[in-house]
Amino acid sequence: MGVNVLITERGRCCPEVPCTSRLAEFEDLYRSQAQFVTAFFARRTRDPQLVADLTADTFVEAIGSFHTFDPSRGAVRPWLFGIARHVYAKHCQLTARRLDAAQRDAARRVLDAEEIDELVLRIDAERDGRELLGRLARLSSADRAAIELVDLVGLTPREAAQALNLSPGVLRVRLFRARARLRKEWTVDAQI
Amino acid sequence: MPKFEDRLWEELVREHGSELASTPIRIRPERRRRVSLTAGALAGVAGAIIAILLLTAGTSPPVYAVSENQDGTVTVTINDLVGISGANAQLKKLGVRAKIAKGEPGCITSAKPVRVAPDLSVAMTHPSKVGATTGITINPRLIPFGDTLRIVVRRIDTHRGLLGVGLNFGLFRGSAPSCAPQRGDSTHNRTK
Repeated sequence: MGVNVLITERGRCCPEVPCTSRLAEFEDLYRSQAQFVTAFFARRTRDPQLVADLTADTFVEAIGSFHTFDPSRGAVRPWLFGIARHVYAKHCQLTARRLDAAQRDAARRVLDAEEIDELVLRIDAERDGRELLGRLARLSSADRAAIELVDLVGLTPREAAQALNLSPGVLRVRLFRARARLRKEWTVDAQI
Repeated sequence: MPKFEDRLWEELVREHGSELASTPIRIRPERRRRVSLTAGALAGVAGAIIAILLLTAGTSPPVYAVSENQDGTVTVTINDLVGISGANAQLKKLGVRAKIAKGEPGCITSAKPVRVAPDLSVAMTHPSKVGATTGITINPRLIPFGDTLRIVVRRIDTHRGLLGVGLNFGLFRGSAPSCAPQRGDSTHNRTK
């Protein structure tokens, strides 16, 4: 006789149909993370329409690669911020080539006045974050990202490393360096 | 939830819901296989599911078994505690967010389950009869996204002096500890 542990797809709450589908899993993810993704873009642009579009693009990308997400390898937020960074980098590339505006005009979501007001408030709320990123403009993008993900978003250094595809050791070095420069610049500003 | 995020979610479901609903769960049928182990009794602890099985030693039973059933279910058979690591490796390969942990004297963990059997509101587990053996049924889709179901296996002695295996269940945010304190272990509430 042995001890069997059976893992099946059926449970008590709904024997025939799985209670939790991938859609429901993704909805949990969306509802817990959407505000952070919106804030991520609100720190980068003052255009509510662009914040809305980039947020939508991020979740569309996330849906496409959701099957690759493995929670045992890390938390969801670093994974999502990795996608958000990619979406923003792509937007910047297209903008530089003056392609993005035309593409976005064609597929632009129509926001109503209430949504625009709401996004404007979010953009205002991220003013300090934008200012901080502005102060870090002379740093490399990876150093800026390290500061943002750890000090603004609140990821742990390990999670930030995952989002940036860096080793935790490298991330810590970047973070230390970026914070030191930031302190130095603020000290100089204060003396002026 | 703010209106912008609500509306965006509605659009995502409308335009990408079918894609998401058809996203495969991380169970790979090609990984399906079966091994076996020694025998045991089953006992639930901490007010959880309790069942005791008497062991009958086979000639040379495999140590653990993990197999996926045709309906997408996964069956795990553990006949000896030494099979835990192998069974966990198989569960991980199958993408099932469950971890089997051994009750060990001196195990120190600060992680607390957010829910334990029988208070798991979704039916991830229930004892089931499989042939001559008693087992546990788990629905991996009911394990909330990002959570891990921990199955603690403990070696016990019954009043008859026979070896038993106790099981209990707990749901953890993120990953679950890989060991569990023995019942009555003074280190139970210690933190690292």
